[in-house]
Amino acid sequence: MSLGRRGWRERPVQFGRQGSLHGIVTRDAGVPDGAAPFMLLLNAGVIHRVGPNRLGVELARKLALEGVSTLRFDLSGLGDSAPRSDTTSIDEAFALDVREAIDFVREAYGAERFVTLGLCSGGREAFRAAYRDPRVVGAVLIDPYSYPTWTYVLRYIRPRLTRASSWRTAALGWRLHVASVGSSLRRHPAPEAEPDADGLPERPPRPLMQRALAEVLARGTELFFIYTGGRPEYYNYEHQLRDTFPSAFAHPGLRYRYMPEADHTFSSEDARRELFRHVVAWLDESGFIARRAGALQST
Amino acid sequence: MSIFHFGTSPRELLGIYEPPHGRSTRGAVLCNPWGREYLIAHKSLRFLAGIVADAGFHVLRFDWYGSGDSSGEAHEGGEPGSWMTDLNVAIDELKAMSQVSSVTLIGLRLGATVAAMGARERDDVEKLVLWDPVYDGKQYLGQLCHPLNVMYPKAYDQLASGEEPTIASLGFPLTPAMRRSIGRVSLDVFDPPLPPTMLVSTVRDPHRYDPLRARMSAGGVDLSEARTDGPMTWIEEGDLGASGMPVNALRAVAQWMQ
Repeated sequence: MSLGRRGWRERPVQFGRQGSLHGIVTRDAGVPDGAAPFMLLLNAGVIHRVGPNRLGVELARKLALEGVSTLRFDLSGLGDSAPRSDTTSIDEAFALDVREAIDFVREAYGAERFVTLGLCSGGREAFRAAYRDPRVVGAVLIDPYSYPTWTYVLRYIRPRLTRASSWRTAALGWRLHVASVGSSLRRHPAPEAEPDADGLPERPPRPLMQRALAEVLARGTELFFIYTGGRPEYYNYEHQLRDTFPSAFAHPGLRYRYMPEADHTFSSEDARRELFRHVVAWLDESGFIARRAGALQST
Repeated sequence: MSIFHFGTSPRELLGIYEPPHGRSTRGAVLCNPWGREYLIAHKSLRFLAGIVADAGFHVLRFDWYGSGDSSGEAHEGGEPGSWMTDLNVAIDELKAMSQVSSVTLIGLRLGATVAAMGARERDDVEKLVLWDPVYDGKQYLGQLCHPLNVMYPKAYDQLASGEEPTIASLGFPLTPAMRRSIGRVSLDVFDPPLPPTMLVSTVRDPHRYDPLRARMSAGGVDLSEARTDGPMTWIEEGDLGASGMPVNALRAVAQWMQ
């Protein structure tokens, strides 16, 4: 166990049915077991549990000082976790990984409620976990899904209309140019798909995502969507989420923040600090932080 | 594989130990690169640890203070001089765990530089692997501080107080102290006494390490080389957050160590 200077403590853990998953639990030294929801920090892309620009480590340690315990761990095949031998797809493997992480924390720390947090593909896994497992009572999704709207398309095309290079390309190979626009639109998935045995597919089509959001919110799960300005090829204006899913956006259980100055991996220390402030504020507003009054109280 | 903390407060380090295949009296300590290079190369170094363990070594990977899952804030790490403290603790830890009496140090990029520093200072380093080492600190800083790589976060803003600023290079803070420490890295680090050494190069420029090679040869270092076609495992490919797996380089290291 490692005791940080400012009172957080960390413990490397190994868990899962195959004993192949590795992670780090970070807690405040004074937090009793089961006091508040436990947060699971999921991998961003293929980067290991430390996170891009050490974001996972910073978040975990700062959250611990707010009384929020975390487990940052590597999904199977990523970081220090071995690939699974008991599944046939990555979707299935990751679904099992998160379930085993929840089971482990429940047994080891007495937690009954969980909040998932992820960036990019991690954000998608965080939502999938909330969809599958009612023990997940909240999810923080950073740059997760995006779907084109007409405003997105216009904002995508407009700057290209004023570029001489775009007109040259159009003149020389308009078919290529149309294909390029089409390709950017096709980054967003086709409309036919249904949940499978693992729950949602990794990139659900818009109608399925709409139903999934409604289902998760109706259950009382709190969702916090955060989008940065770092992926304009996917998300290029503040109200894109609202315009994509207006009814879900209006639900009181969905909170949203647009951080246009931040890049996709929060390279800036300032952006990371701002992210942390937003996450803590949301946790507090959602009732997920035990308020300190001398000693910690259960929520 | 087991993951654990070692060292003493407040400088606890995260270590990852891989046991050898079969009984063994040989040990190896892997020295990570700095900053973003560490994140990109993580998988390759994990694979290397497994290959070296299969070759019959007790293997310890660890995160430097102020990096990865070790203690410390990011702006407290990144100084080769202070990394020596961590390396000494890591070597002693592996020797205590595994009862080996000497180790091979394997370092990548700035980790290779510190590995060389360790090999010079200690008498229990039997072999040294320098994988695309940093031997010119000013040149390396020039890359880190390239305008495309640098930010000036307000959180680190000391300009108003007249101090030199901490800058962020590809998301990782470079304090003035770090820049001075890295800037002092020179070919002197690679002067004897050094144990038998392997230089692994995956860069495209075949002359990149000519000055280093010449210096070490002139010093009488027993130097072997492996030059492969990459990939350069500390550089991100596309937008993946990772590099390709440098299979040939990994194989060359494991074969030389046996």
